[in-house]
Amino acid sequence: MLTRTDQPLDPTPAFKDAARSAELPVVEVEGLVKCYGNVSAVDGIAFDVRRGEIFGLLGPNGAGKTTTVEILEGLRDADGGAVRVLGLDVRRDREAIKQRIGVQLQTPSLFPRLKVLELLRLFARFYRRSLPPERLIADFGLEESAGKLVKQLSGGQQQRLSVALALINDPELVFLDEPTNGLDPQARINLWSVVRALQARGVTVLVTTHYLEEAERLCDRVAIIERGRIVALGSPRELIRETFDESAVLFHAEGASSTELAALPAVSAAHADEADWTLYSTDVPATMAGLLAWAGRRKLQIEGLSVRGATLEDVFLKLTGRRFRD
Amino acid sequence: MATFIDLTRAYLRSFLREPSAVVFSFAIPVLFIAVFGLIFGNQGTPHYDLGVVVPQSGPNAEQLAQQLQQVSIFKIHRGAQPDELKKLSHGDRTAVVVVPAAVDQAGQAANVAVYTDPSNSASRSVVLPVLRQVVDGFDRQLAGTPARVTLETRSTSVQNLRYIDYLVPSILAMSLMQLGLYSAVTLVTQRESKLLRRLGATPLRRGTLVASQVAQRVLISVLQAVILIGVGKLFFHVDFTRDLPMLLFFIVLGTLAFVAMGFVVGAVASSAESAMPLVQFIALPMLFLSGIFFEIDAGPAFLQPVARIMPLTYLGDALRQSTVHVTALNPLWVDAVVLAGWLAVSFAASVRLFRWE
Repeated sequence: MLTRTDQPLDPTPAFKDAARSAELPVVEVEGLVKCYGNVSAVDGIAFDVRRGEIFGLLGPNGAGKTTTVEILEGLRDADGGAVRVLGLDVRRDREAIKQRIGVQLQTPSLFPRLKVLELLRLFARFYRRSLPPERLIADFGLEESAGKLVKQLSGGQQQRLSVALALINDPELVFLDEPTNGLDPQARINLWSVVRALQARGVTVLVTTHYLEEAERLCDRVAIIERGRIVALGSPRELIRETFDESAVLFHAEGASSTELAALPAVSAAHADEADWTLYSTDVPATMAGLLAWAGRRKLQIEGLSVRGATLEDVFLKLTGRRFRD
Repeated sequence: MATFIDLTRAYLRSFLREPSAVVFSFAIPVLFIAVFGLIFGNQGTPHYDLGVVVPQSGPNAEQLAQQLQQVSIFKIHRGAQPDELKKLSHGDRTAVVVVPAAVDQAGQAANVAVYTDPSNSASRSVVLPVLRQVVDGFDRQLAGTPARVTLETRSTSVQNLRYIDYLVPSILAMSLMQLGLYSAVTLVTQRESKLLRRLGATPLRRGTLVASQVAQRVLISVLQAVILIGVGKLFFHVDFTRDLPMLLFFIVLGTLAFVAMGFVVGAVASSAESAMPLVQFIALPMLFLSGIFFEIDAGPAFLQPVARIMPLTYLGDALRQSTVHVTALNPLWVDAVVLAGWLAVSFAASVRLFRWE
């Protein structure tokens, strides 16, 4: 299991590291605990978020991501542990923190009968400093919706508005809770580019997601959360490299057994989802040759054969023994 | 302060852009007034069947009977005493008046007897005071007072009050109650949609958030009052006395009391679906027992103590007193104290029970 202590060094140049270390982390979480009744939703989580990075909390639904984020936002009180946001104590300096952070909740949670422009202007009022609503409307491609009631917007437009609203106070740190949930693939890619644009402007982003691909492609560093605990933390590439030197061989075959497949050359593990097989191989050519020979002998049909490098999904499977979607 | 104003405006807009809320708050009360006004309003005054018994005719006795005839709310039936008393017991008469022969005998004390059904409260609240006036006036004529006193000039408010006059301020009270109690549903909806939590993630003060919602309700209440009184005046010629400061005071006090009650319901209810029947459970008994459509006295006696604790009873009374000529149920200060009491209790309960999520 990876912890923060055995992380490899950040591959960025030394001078950048020095500049970063001079700055305090934007978010510091130490031994965070939150219980609901007897159930501990968050069970001793610790991580830091560095200024300017896109940090992801990745985990299945119910893993404790939203609870963690809501404690950081000052919406819930922790039962234990220490949390500092922008160097301030989340309990004592709640008001000061709220002035400087942007928040997007999992549900859009807006006034359904206000117009888009009215809504942005209203929220601008709540803060000491704010961006011009017109600029956010342009940045998020909502020009044609500006005069529409919020409830008339499509799901994707509401989601974009919800993110725009999180930026109305020109925050240093933005929390995005499942921002691409329910979006179609194109809208999801658009939102990623918005998040990257934020990063380019120096904004730190903490994003939760249950999409592995999203975490892999969007985040600089990821904490994988399972049942209220962090099971791995690091950049996606590092996590994969640290956990695996295998590649995955995928195919569909009826009537195969895992003992047979696990015995093929260079295969370290074989997992089946119905008749969809994943073989982890340390030597892909050897495994492929063995597989095809075996299929020929058994007269089995092999369909959809493909090879890919390991992904965060494989990391999750290996670390928890469970498939991510379980 | 600017935040408060903007947020109040946002809540007002949200309300006014919801067609069902607008219909419910403005159109339905006006419709009530129109329907009841058209059914009862053009009948003018209600009338009561009055049995008049003159055992021995004489000039004075006939003159008294004549004067009773002239009272517009009475429909006079002349008859023999046993017949009339039987009709009284069957409910066909509100009261029976027996004019004694002594009225035509100079120097004799004459007692005009009035038979009423004690279970019929209309006789007590309306008929008896009017009869007393008629007889008093007649007595003064006999004593030779030079001014000939006519009933018209001695009319009490009871005689002039039409049903529609009673109805308009009562419907206003009902509308304020509905508007206030329904803040429960608005509150739960905001909680369910996580809007309250989203606002909680901004530096917005919670006091401002609550104050804006209350201010929205008060402003809509005033708008309701303007519309209902305007309709009453324009279409039904309701004769409003203009105690505007008093009216405004009670509109605000009543709205605050019912909004506070709505917040209690909103805190208790787990969803908008469960808040709705809870609101109805509170509102419906008040609609029927608090003297909105009919005077409280017209209801069964055992329900009257219930009516006596309902806030709508007092708001209705106060709004009627500050808009039309009406017999007071309570002194205005009693109305104010009871409503303030409901406000204080509900406010304390809602602060204790309030949930942001």
